[in-house]
Amino acid sequence: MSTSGYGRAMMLLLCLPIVFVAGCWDSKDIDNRLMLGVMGLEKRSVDSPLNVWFRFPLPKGAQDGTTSKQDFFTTSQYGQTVSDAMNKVRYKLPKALDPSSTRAILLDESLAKTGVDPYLEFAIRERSVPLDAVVAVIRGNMERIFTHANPTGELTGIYTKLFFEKYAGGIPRKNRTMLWEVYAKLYNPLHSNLIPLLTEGKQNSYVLAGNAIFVKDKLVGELNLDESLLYEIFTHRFHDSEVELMSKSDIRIVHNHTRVSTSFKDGKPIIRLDTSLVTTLIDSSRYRRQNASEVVAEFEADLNAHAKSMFEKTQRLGADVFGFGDRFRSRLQPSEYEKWPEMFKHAEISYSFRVDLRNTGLEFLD
Amino acid sequence: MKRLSTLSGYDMLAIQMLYKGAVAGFIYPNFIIRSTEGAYWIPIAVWAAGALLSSWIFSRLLAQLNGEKLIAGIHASIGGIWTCVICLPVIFFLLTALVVMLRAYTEVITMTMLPTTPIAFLNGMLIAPAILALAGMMPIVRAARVFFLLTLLLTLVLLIVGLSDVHWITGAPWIRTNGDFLLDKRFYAASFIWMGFVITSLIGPHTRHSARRNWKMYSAALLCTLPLIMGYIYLPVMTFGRELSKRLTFPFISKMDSISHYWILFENLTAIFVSVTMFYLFIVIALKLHAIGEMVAVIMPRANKRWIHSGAFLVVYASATLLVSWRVVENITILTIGLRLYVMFVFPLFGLLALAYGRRAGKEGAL
Repeated sequence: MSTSGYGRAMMLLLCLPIVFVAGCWDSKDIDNRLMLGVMGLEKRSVDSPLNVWFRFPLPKGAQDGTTSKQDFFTTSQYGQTVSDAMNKVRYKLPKALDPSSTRAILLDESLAKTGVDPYLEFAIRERSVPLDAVVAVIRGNMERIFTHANPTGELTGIYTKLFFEKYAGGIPRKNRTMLWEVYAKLYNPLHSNLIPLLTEGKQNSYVLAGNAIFVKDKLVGELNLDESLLYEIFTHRFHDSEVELMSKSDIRIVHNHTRVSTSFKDGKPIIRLDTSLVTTLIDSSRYRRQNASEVVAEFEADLNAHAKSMFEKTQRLGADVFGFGDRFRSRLQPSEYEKWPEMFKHAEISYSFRVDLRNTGLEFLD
Repeated sequence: MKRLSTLSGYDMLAIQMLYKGAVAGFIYPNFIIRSTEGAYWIPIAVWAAGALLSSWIFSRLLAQLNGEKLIAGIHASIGGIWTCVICLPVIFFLLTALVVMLRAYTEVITMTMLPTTPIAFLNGMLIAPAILALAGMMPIVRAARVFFLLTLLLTLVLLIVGLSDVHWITGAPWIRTNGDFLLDKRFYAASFIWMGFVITSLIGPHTRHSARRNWKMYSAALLCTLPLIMGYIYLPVMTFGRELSKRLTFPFISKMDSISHYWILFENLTAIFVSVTMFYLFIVIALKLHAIGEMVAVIMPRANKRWIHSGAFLVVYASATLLVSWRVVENITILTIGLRLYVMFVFPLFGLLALAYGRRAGKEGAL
C-alpha cells in the first residue's frame, strides 16, 4: 500500500467510530414519546400553586390495547413553575414527554389576571414549546375542556389550532395570537397584548367570548366581539370576510383598508384612522325595509359606536393593543418609551369610515 | 509555463459570500442589536466602509507580489524572526476565530436540535474541514463552488420566507443615530464578520492582476451580502421588536422558529437554517485551517505539513471543548477586538513596509 493510500485508510478508520456513536444522545423513537398537543396553565389564586394541564393525542396503534375509546390522554400536575410541573409529570408518564409539537397554550383567566410572564418565559428560554403555538385565555372550567373529547373529532392540539387558523375555522374576530407575539409584546412598552378569550362551551369545547386586554403581563379588561372586529380592521389583521349584524340587515365586509397617520401636537400623540370598507348585503328584513344609503348609514353608526367604546376602554386602561406606539419610535427617545402607556391615555384618536356597499346578489336594493 | 493556482473572480465571490453566511447569523446580530439605540444599518455601513479600506490596503500589499504567497514574500524580505513577530498575532487571531466559530455553531446545535449530545462530540465536526484543509487550496475552492450554489439558494428562500410577520414600523428609528455604538465594545467585537479578505489574502499566490481583481470581487461580494446581513438583523427586529430581539441570544434562529405557514412543507425551518450554515462553516473553517498551515509552514519550514494541520486541529478542538459557557465565547470575541484591528489594518501596513524594505535591500545588494 502506498503512503497516501495508507494515510487515507487510517483516516477512514479514525472516522469509523463516529458511525457507532451516532444516535447515542437525543434519540427517542417516536413510539416512546408522548407528544404534547395542548397545555393549560391554571392558577386559582395568587397563593395557590400552578396547575398545568397536559393533553396528548394517542395514535391509533396505541389505542388498540386500551379499553377506552378516547383518542387522547389528559393529565395535570401542580408545580411552582411550568418547568417544575413538566418535570413532575414525568413521574407519572410511561413515555418521554415531548412538548416540541405543542399546538396551543391555554391560560386560565385567574392566572392571566395575576401575570403571565413568569409562566411563559420557559418556552423561549428553553425553546421547548414551539413559538408558533397559539395562545388563548380560558374563562371557565379548564378541567372540562381538557377531559372532554373534541366534538368534531380532530386530534388534540389540532382542534385548537384549526379553531384559530385562517385556513380553517379562523375568522377575524378570533384574533389568532401566537406565543412569540405574546412574548414580544411583554417586552415592548409601545404595544400591549390582546389575546383571544374563550369560554367553556356547553356543546363545544369552548366558544369565543372576545379578546382579553393586557397591560404588561396582566389581564385588565376585554374587548367584546364587535370591538374585536374593529381592532382587526384598524390593525390590518383582518382577513377573508366577516359578518356584521345590524337591526334590519346583515352586512359582510369583504375588503378593507385603513390608513393610519400619526403626529405629535404639544406633546400629545395625534392618531388619525381612515378606513374604507367594501361590503355586500347578505340579509335584510322583509318587514322593515331599508334602501342602500340607509343600510350604509346604520352600518357606519354601528362602526362608530364600536370604535368609540373600544378606544374608551383601551385608553382608560393605558393599553395600546393596536401598536400605535411603534409608529412613534422615531419621534420618542428610547428613554421615553416606558411613558407611552400614559401618553396613549391622552392621545387624540379620530377615525372615519367610508363604506362602499356593493349592490350585488339576486335581489337588488332600491 | 506552469499556471498559478490563484483564485478566479468567481471563486473569490463564492468564498466571500460563504464567509459572510458562516459568520453573520449567530453572535453578530445580537452584538449589533445591543450596540445601539439608533438605526442598525449605520454601524453595519461604518464597518463595511472599514472592511473596504482594510481590503484595499491588503490589495496594495498583494499587488507587490509576483506570483508569491504573502507570508513567503514577507519572509523573503525581512527574514524568519521579524516574520514571526508580525505573523504570530495573525495566527493567534485565526485560532481564536476558529474556536469561536466552532463553539458558536455547536452551541446553536445544542440549543436547537441536540440538547444532550456532548459538546465534545459535536466539536468533532471539525474533522471534515480539517481533512479538506490538508488537501490544499484548490480542493477547498472546488468544494466552495458547489456549496455556494446550494447554500445561496436555500438562504435566499429562508430570507424571503422570513419576510412574513414583518412590521416595518418596529424597525424604527431608521435614520436616527447619536453614534452611541462607537462607545460600545460590541460594535468593535462585531468586526469579525469583515475579515473575509484577510483569510483569502493569506492563502495562495498573488499577482498585481489577481490582487486588483480580488478586491473588486470582494467589494461585489460585500454589496451582495449586505441584504443577508441586514436580514439577519432586521428580520427578527421587525418581527419581535427591538426590546425582545435584544434579549435573544440568536435572534434569527428565534425568527425561523416563529414562522408558521400552511403552505410550508417543512415544519422546522430552523433545522434547514442550521444545516445550510454547516455548509458555510465547512468551507470557512477549512480555509482558516489551511491559512494557519501555510503560515506555520513558512515560519517553520522543516515542520511536516500534516503535523502542522493536526496540531491546529487539536488546539482548536480542545479549546472549543473546554469553553463551557456561552458567555465565555462572547467574551473571547470582545477580548480579541485589538487582535482583529491589528490584522485588518496594521498587519498589511507592516507587510507593505516589509516588502519595501526587501526591495531596497535587494537593490543595495545588487549594487
